[in-house]
Amino acid sequence: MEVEVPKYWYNLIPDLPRPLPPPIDPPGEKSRIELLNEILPKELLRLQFTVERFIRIPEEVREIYEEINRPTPLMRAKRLEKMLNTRAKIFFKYEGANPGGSHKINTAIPQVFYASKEGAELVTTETGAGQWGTAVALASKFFNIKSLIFMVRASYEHKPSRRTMMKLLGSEVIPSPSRLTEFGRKVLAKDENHPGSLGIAMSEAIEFSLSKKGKYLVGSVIDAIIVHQSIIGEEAIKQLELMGEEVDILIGCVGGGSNFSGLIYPFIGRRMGKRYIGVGSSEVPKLTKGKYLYDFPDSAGLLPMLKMYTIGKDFVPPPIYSGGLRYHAISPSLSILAEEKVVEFKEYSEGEIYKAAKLFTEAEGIVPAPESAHAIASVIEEVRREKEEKKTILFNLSGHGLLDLPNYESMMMKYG
Amino acid sequence: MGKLLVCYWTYGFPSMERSSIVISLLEKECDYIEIGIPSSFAKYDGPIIRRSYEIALKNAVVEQIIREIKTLNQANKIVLTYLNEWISKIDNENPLSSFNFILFPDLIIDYYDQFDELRNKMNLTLFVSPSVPDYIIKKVSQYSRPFLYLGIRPTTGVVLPVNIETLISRVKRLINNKLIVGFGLKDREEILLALKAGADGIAIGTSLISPFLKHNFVNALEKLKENINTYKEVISVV
Repeated sequence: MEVEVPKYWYNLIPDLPRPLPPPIDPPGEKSRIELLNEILPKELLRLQFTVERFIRIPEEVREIYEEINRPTPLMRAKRLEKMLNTRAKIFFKYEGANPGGSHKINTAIPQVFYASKEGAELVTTETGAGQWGTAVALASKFFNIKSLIFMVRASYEHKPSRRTMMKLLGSEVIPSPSRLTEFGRKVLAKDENHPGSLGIAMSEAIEFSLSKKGKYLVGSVIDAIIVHQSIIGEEAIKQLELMGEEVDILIGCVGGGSNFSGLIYPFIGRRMGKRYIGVGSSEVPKLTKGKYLYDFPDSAGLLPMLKMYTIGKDFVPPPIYSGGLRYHAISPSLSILAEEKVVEFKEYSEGEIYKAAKLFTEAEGIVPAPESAHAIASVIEEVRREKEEKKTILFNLSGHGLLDLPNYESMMMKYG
Repeated sequence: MGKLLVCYWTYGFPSMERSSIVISLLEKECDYIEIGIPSSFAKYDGPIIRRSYEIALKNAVVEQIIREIKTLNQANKIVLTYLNEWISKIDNENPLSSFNFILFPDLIIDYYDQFDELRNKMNLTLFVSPSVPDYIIKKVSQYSRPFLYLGIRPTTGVVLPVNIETLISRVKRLINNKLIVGFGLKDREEILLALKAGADGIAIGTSLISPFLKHNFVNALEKLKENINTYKEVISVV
């Protein structure tokens, strides 16, 4: 018996332990909240601000989820268990099996669907590691819309394969900071060799979209995106049920929070699982050193402020290879779960996650995306702590790392 | 029973004297009047209400505004102010204690931990947004008088797309007392939707204040009367 693609997305907000502070405008005349009407697809805003627990997935979107062969597999890492010599069971939801190679397609499809239904001819976005950009490029092909992607310069240079893949899908890919926008020119005037950041690329994509009357698409952080990603957890719950398994520990890496929340919120909402662990990078210590306050999601401050864990919108992350974890903040809902200690956080260095990725690749023959390797590092730590304990762990393998092989090559030289 | 019309006004806007004139007019037309004590940073309000606060604060200091509000007949008045500005002051001599009903738009969102303590100190009209979890809406609605206030949009006067019926029917299922809906109701059609979805009344603010930022006082007053008549007419249809 196979699990069907769910008919509903899940929204944790009605089940949160405390109220989610709304977006706000900083003092001043211009309302950034009002500007959202011009920036984002209307249906995305409707989903963001119409809070209900279960939301019916539009038929057109569900059909594409089926066409791309969702549900993604829920697999047991038996050889990893053996290598770790443990009595624990380790499962992973393999989002790397999606076209494009990551979970990002789950939200790219509905967002491009909304934009195309609303008559947009162009969508823009930013990308760090390239997974989100790839997903938008692919979804734009599905709906026959033009896409333009601002790619953080450091990644543009270090991840030529991702760049090529987006171009292959017909996207225009621009290294950010760029001269295409006023904000990009401002940043370049200060530092011609600026490596870029997600916050800067985001500001550029918004500015460009506004000037061309396109729609800007959001890769993570906001509730509507997390709702789209809940497809991961909704599937996983049914898959585990079929296997007759119950999980004790759930683990996911945290960039903005969408892959973590996508897998884990449906479990938290149903009180399934005993511990939930979010994993970040020690080089971008927003989980341990961030502060819970209102900050801008983008560097130029074009968007309304959100209350979230942040290390500041102007934080320029070091050039680690896990581009997806370099964002300066985490989603407002995940921030509440952190405040309330529902979710625990761990951070690992690049050297540590390299070792975890290597072990996983040796065991399972799947190269994890460097971001997802953070979750693996935490799984290994949990298992090693109490080898004899019988427990069941589920983690999100949010993407594969086959386009990150040159980065692994560099890590091999550095840490191998 | 008829649906309720709740009208908002910022005390001290556009001037001290004129705000009294508007409030006396609202007395005749509305079931309840929310009177805003201007705040230096009204974080959950949109640009129009914020502007009215700025102007009011140029006309008088908050202490004077409070003194004047206290002289009004309190029967159908709900005083609105941000808890952020009072949290350190209400422990000792609570300057807000003599008001009939108090609405803090930031209480549930930012100070939920202190809700139980506060509800013992004063009569609260509670404001919830769609991002408040079910169990909290359920709990606080029991203590909210004379109704529970649901803001359907994240900020006043800024119209973002929402599904009004879904938002209202979610909250209606959780509560037993009256539900007033506000925050960015944009037109006749939306008001009808809200009332048909089960709202017991509507709260109007931005559309009453806005004419006074664009027109002279006499014309703005006419516009305000027209707006109120429209709302009353829509309400009477349901």
